[in-house]
Amino acid sequence: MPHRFLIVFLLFALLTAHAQNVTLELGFNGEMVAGQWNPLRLSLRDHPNVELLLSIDQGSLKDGVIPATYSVKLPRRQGLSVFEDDVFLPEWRSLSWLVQSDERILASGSFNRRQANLLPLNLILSSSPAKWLAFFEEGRPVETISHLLPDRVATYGGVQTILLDGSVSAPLLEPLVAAVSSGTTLILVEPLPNTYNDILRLSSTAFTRLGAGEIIKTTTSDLATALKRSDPLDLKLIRESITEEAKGSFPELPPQYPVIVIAGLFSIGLLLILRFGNNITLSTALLLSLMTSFVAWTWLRPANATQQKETRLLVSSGDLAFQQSLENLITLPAQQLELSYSAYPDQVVVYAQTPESVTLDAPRWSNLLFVKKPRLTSAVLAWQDNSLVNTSSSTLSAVYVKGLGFQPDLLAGSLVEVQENKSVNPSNLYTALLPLLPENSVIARDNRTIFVALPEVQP
Amino acid sequence: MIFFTNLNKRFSQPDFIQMSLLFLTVLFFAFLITWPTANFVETNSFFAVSQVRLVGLLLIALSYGSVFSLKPLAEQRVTAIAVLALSLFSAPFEVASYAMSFPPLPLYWSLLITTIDTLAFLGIGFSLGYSLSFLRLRFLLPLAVPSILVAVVAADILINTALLNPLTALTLISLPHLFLMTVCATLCLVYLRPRKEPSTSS
Repeated sequence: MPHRFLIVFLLFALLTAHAQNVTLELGFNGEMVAGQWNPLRLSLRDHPNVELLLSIDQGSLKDGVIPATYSVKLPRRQGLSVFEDDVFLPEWRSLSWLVQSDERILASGSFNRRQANLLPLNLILSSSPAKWLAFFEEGRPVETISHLLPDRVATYGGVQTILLDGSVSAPLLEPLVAAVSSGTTLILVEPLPNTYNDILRLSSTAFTRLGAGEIIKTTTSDLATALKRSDPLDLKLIRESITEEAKGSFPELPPQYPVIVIAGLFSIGLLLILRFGNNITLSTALLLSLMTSFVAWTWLRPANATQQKETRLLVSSGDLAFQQSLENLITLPAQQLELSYSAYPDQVVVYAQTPESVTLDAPRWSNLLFVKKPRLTSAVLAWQDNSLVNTSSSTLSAVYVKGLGFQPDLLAGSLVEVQENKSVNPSNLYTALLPLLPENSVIARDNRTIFVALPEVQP
Repeated sequence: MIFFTNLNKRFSQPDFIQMSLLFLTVLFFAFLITWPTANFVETNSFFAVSQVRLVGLLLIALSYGSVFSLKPLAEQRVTAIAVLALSLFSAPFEVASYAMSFPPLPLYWSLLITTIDTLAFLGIGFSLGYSLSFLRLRFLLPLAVPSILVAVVAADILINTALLNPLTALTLISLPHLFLMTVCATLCLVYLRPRKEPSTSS
């Protein structure tokens, strides 16, 4: 009897051990933000060649099932292996995952539809997170652990704030820099222990901007006031305001009137040839048809049946810039698009994503916009006292300072003193961007990039 | 050379001119109303123009085939080639609408199917005319001609496959349909081939 019990127990342990060897975490502490990039962490132990497949249904009752998938193949490994990436999660109806080898499914699971939440996250790194909950009126407060913070920029798209009160071990600098540069507000509640010195050096004043985000140094008693003063950028709205600019248009058709007139003249000419052509009817009519077909084809067929255009948005302050690229693809014939970068389509369409690519079947006459995974880069447009400096290798034109107006073009490597010039109205693009930016923000552009330089924060 | 002289004469005969006028008018109208009026929009004119052209040519082929089924072979041959030539003359409408529409099928397929189906339905028209004459029901020709088209559409729905319906063949590449119509067209050409007149001994 004890032997049977032992065998059953060992079998059970073997089965659960296999199931326990695979762990998938999405989001921060299980909290995901729909409509944003979210961190994914897959832990496996002693595994064969496996494939992770995330299946997302982004449809609705009206539209039906619109599937999107994320997949990655992982080679065989001994010991513990961890795979991390950022996955874009649209607003979903169902989200399930499975890890499968060639022979069987190793693990699977799904997420509750109620977890498809649009509210951003407020990450709290504290031994007593509950005492900070009252300070966050918007968003979802989530407790997290220092060493679990990823150092990828895209991860923090859905993170509104990160609060450090010094009661837990100090996180590494890189994740915080990635977070702040991508638009997150980093709140440092002083006093902080010496282990936080590197983090404190990111900001020399109470309010500092870095990239697209800001760093606030405050005390517990002044935290509410500091949060009221905080002026974070809404990067999603900024991106949406340049969507119109980024999205191209279909090729211009020849005007209707000449096409119809030529069609009419052809018909009449053909009938006249049939009636009066006599011995040359067949050859003349065939020649007319051939020539008309040739002219119609060369005149009406657009030269570029597929067009590709990239528009980049660079939001900078300090030395760092947050770069968001939008890729516009116009295809007139239906075709399968395989793009060799990580991105998601701006429209709700069926697509398949991997860590390095995105694939979808574009129907005929498609005008698609892909939002690439954001990244960090060096700032090229910045304030320097009362002047603007351009450290790039190209000229920046249409330079506009909010509150002061248009400025002269900034040649590569030049420094220009800012003057007031409100004689010219800004373009539609600038008019859409300006309400979303703080006073004294600078907007400029070159061929395919829109630069936004944020002003220094006054102490 | 006599054949080409007769063919050129056939083009100018009143019935052919009237039929061509009607056909080109309907085709032009379909082209006109489906051409987009705005500048930067999707164009779908091919789908309407190609179907109007195909149905028009098939009705003309069936009509001429059935009406001329009792005429001398030489006259049948010249009429058949004239109808086939009409399908080639009207190709620019399809080419123009295809150039802007970017349909999923290649251009050669729609032009090929239209030409082969026209010849095949000419043969079907000859058979129809003969059959109705044999049954002394030629007065039913005006009803029978469109009924053939309806029948092939209905047959495909019944057998749930793209075999007979020429309109389906314009939306997807159907090799069974191409094969069947090529057989019918070949039979029609074999029927229309020039034959040696039997010699009479003195």
